[in-house]
Amino acid sequence: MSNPAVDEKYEALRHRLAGTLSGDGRLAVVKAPPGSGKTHTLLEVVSRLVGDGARIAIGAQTNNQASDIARRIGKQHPRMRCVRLASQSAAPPTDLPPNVTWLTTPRDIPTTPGVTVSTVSKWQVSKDMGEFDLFAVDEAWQLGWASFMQCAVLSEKFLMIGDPGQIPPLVPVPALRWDTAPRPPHLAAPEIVLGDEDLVAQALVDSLPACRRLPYESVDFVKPFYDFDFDAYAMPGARKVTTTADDQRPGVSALLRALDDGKPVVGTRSTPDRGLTGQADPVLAREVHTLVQHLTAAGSRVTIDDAAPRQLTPTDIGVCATHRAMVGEIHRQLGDQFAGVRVDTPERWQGLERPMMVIIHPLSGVMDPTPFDIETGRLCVMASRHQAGLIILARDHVEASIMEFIPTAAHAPGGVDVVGIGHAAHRKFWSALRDQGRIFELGEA
Amino acid sequence: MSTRELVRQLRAAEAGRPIPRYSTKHLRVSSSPLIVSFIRMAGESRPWGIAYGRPGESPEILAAGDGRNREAVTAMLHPLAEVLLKYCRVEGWTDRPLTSEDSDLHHFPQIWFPGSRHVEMLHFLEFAYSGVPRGADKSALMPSFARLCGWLFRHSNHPGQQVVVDSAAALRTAFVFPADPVSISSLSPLVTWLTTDGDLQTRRAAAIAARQDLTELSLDPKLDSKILEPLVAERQRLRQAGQDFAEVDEQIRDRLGPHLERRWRLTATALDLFKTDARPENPGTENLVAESLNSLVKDLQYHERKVQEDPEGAFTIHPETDFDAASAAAAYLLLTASQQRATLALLHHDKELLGEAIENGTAVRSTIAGISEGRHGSRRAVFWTVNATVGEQTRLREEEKYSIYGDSSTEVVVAGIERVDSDTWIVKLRWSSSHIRRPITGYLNAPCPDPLWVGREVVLVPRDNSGMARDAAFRVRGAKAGIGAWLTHSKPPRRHLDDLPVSDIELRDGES
Amino acid sequence: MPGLDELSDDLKRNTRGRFEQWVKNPKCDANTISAVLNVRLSAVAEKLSYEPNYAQSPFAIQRGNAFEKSLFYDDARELVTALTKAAAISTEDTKFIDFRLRLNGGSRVNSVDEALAESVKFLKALPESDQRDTLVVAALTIRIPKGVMLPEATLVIDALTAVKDDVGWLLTVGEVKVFPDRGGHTDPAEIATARAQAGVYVHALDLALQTLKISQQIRINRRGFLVFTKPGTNRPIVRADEDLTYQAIRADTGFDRLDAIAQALLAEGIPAESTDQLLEFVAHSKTHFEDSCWAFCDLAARCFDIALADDSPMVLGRDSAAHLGGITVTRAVELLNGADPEDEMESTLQVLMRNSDWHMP
Repeated sequence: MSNPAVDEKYEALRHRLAGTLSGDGRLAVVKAPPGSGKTHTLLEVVSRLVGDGARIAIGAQTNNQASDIARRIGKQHPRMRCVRLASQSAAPPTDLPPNVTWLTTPRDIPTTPGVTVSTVSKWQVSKDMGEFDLFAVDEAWQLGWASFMQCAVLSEKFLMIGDPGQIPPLVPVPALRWDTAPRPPHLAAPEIVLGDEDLVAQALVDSLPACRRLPYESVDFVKPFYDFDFDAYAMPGARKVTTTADDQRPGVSALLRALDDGKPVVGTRSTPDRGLTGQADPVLAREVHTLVQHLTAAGSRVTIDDAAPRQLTPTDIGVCATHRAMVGEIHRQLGDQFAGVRVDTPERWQGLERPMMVIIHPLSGVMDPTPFDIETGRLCVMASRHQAGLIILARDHVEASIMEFIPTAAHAPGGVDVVGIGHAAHRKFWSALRDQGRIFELGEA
Repeated sequence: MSTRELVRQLRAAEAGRPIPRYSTKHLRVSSSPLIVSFIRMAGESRPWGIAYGRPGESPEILAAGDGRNREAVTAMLHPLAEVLLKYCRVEGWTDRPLTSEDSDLHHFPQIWFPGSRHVEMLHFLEFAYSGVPRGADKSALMPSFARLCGWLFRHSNHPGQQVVVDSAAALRTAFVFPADPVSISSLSPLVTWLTTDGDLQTRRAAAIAARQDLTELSLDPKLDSKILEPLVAERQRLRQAGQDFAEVDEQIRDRLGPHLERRWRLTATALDLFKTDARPENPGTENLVAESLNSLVKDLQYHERKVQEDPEGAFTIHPETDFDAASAAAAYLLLTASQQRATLALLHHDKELLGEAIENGTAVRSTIAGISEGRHGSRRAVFWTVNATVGEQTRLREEEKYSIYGDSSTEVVVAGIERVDSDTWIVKLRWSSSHIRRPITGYLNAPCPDPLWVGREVVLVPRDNSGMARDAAFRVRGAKAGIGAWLTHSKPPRRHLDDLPVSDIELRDGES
Repeated sequence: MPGLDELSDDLKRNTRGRFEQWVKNPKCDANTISAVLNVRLSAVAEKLSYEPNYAQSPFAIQRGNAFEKSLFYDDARELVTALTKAAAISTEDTKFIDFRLRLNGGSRVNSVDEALAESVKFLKALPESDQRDTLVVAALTIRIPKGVMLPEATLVIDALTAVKDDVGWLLTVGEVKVFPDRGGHTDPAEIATARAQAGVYVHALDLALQTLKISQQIRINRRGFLVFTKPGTNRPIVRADEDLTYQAIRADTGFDRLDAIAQALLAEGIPAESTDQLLEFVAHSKTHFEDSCWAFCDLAARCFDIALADDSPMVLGRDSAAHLGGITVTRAVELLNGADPEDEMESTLQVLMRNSDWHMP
């Protein structure tokens, strides 16, 4: 699949980044929509800079991510000198390409042009390796400012790239004292930069031009979670899920058939008068089972770009729910027959994708949302994992819960109105689904 | 709220009374506590009256005639300031300043307050009195008192700290109440729940009625409008006329006194409830006391010594925040370190706390499925393969270190993770050669290679790596010499600063 | 049924307070009706023999008044200094315009009607004005058009700046509160109230300018300022550049909703002629107790008793109620002790509770 118009934008961005960072520019912050080829872009830019003689350090948030980056460099840029710097107690993955050197002593990092990949935590404690021409941080919105400050010894130049829509990392301690600090140590490093006019003036601030993961028709639905614009990489009509489902229950067949235009669909069940218990909803869990059955039935097909349409299998389907209790309930309903379906919470879905996703709306069952419930990171992650089809399940109180929510702005002076912004995003997301006729009431079983 | 917390609350409802939350006590009552309570004139932030003293004695009652008058309030605060500075053995105010050599972990400064608003008064006092004009003497009484208040307030937010007790919060932490959190937000209903005999209805009704018994900083508006406002107005009239108002001051003090004393005595009752709580004290509280005192010495005393050496020029911490980014980052990292230490100090000795940790994913239940031997590098290693049940917020990941619950000296490293489903992971744990022969206490009392371990359930508890966070605090400061410091340590734009001197905390020797 | 004309001036002026009261518990009919018809909950509580708790101390009122007076004294010198320090305005060279009533410290306005008239004159004159000074305005008084929170309501904006740039006039609203600014430790409830009220100003000013047909010539800044006190003093601290976008939307949608409720209420007819009957009407309206009611409602004890009689899980708190849904406390305890579930919801809850009730052997 290619999209020449968008490819041009990517190339222009890579050119700007490489030009800035190889010249006088010392800082670049790049916002990435979900599934936008962030790591690929990072490595392309790094490869150009290395080609110009640069010695670069890349910081990832976890060992798995660092090893994954090293693997990709080894395979996609085989001529680029690549070191994976790890801790003494770690063992190298068995599938690390042979052209990637595994080191545990920073002093041994070559001084020649090339790239060294490690975790940010490892970089923080490493010494005696000399200075790098660039320190590039992947998933930068997962890195707190206090952690980033420790990397000042690495390089004069920095590149931060990441998805601002993801779930922010937990702050484990009461941080009220620093809420009004000019540089709150618990906030994400890119947010500190973007919140400071002086730093922004010195930086190249940009964004990746397109979401490559989602179908063309789904992209507009996730834009409310972002403060920058982006295109769809996929072509109209190129991604979809089609089924020949014929369920007797009202709404089910219509819901499944509506998937074939690439837009998300919502299936609602009525809210019982006596309310719902908070965390697990067996009715919706059973709906998941019903839908998975239909989606994996003989007549179902997934189409992704130029590849031939093929039948959906359980491993093509992902399910996401905010509470572990609901995840467990869904597992129980799916049973061994659908053991290949991955079911998990949004925190553990970050970075992953599936052709077909079924999610439980985070506000389903939450009759009286609190500001915490309105935080949009979870919904953003849940709504941006699918490559071809997305079904959102919810109890029908959700619309009223969202529309009638009255946001309070209790954040510290000078802070960001996250509740207001989050609520606005929830409203836009749901309103778009409603206004485009994407909501289907599912009848009783 | 977790489901576990819900279950506990239902158990309390079933029992008809508050029930203990944890298996052990997490607060050590000092053998020499001090109780302090305040009253504030509505709309003001300074205190109008104070009660302070040791439990078992009668409290000292102080009042300023007019809570709006800075001079009157300051004069009222002087005795408390002297007492507190001496009580906390602050450098320059006692001939026995607290030092790191002090090892008495039973007789230590511990100040009890009725509730959070009283603790917040410390912050107001820091704001009100810590700022002095440039060149003025910072070692004087009120600035020193303000700095102590500031330290106490900041320390009150440190997890597990033992020096500043918010009695209401402490009771809510120690017990589970069959009541909504708002109705038990203040001390009076909490104490009533715990001290009333009878059934659930009786206790509940008494606790609801006790909400009328105000224990926060302000008084009943009816008392203000009917009695106090006329007295204050009279005082003002006399003062403006140049006449003696001492008698009016006395009347105001007499009116405020019972309310101050009531708050004070209720706090004394809360203290007694902790003393008479039959649960054993968690052995980890000893560490927490030591940590608090260490913080007092390293933070407060260090600065006070600097002030004694240079009364005009020494740096002082801003009450609002740390404007210097490195100071903010270092303080934040040190706080995360103390959070971890506090949790782990208590966790190995409290089964209920462990249950909470498992629910939230900090601790991990595991069943040993297999044991194998191998090598790690050139050294022998033993591997446990376990089926782990992971919680909501688990941080189980490769390279993380854990202990086996019940034996905090053990150490395993997560060598590999394979996800079976969202709740169950197969985890490979590696024992280093130094641990292989050592029996694991608290369970089988057998070393890790023993096949008897297969099929057993163990709980993995994170190892204390708070040293890393402390090291990180050092690195943050040291990194200002790095070539990237133009970004990481750049000076942010100054904002709405008031007249207080804004200062950085210097890199301190021996901070680790 | 009381007609609109018969409703008091006090009601007209208490728009903000009534709206905020309603927001605290919009699911409660009693609270809603009380807010719409301005029937004081304290009066209802007294009628039902519950002692009201939420009076205001005279000291607090005096302090608030004293602070505002000091803020605007001498052409608002203190406020201007604080605004400049916070970069809310770029110069201390300002012109002060005062619409405060004389009894509140103003110098020329004698009545609310006069304040309204002068404020309208001021706003209408702005577009053509070639005034170059930054204007600092106290107590701009506007009338919110009829249909918002019945009847026409009057709103007094604590503070406002007006600056003319290349595009035209930009008005920035400010809310003044006497409570102390302690940075991140500032009371969240108080700061939320301040922002909510500033958001009402923004929305109300929008409506007022539309009514005056000058909304194309004058812009309203979605970012306002908050004026608090430095703890322990009467000196102001200004927090500038506060995003009021969503609080203005909150006021907009909130007012609309409350209006719709008010219209529906009037259409049904209020079975009350006298004040006493109104009190009865509120007293017997359906209630929805939440634990947050303890913090603001004089009827909380009464509604708690009702919730208790219903064995509602709300008596254990909102979070517990969210877990239990419609399952009563008694039933939840029975399930915890192994009773057979009667339906799937009970069965699910029972499993969850059992799984979380693990204890170390």
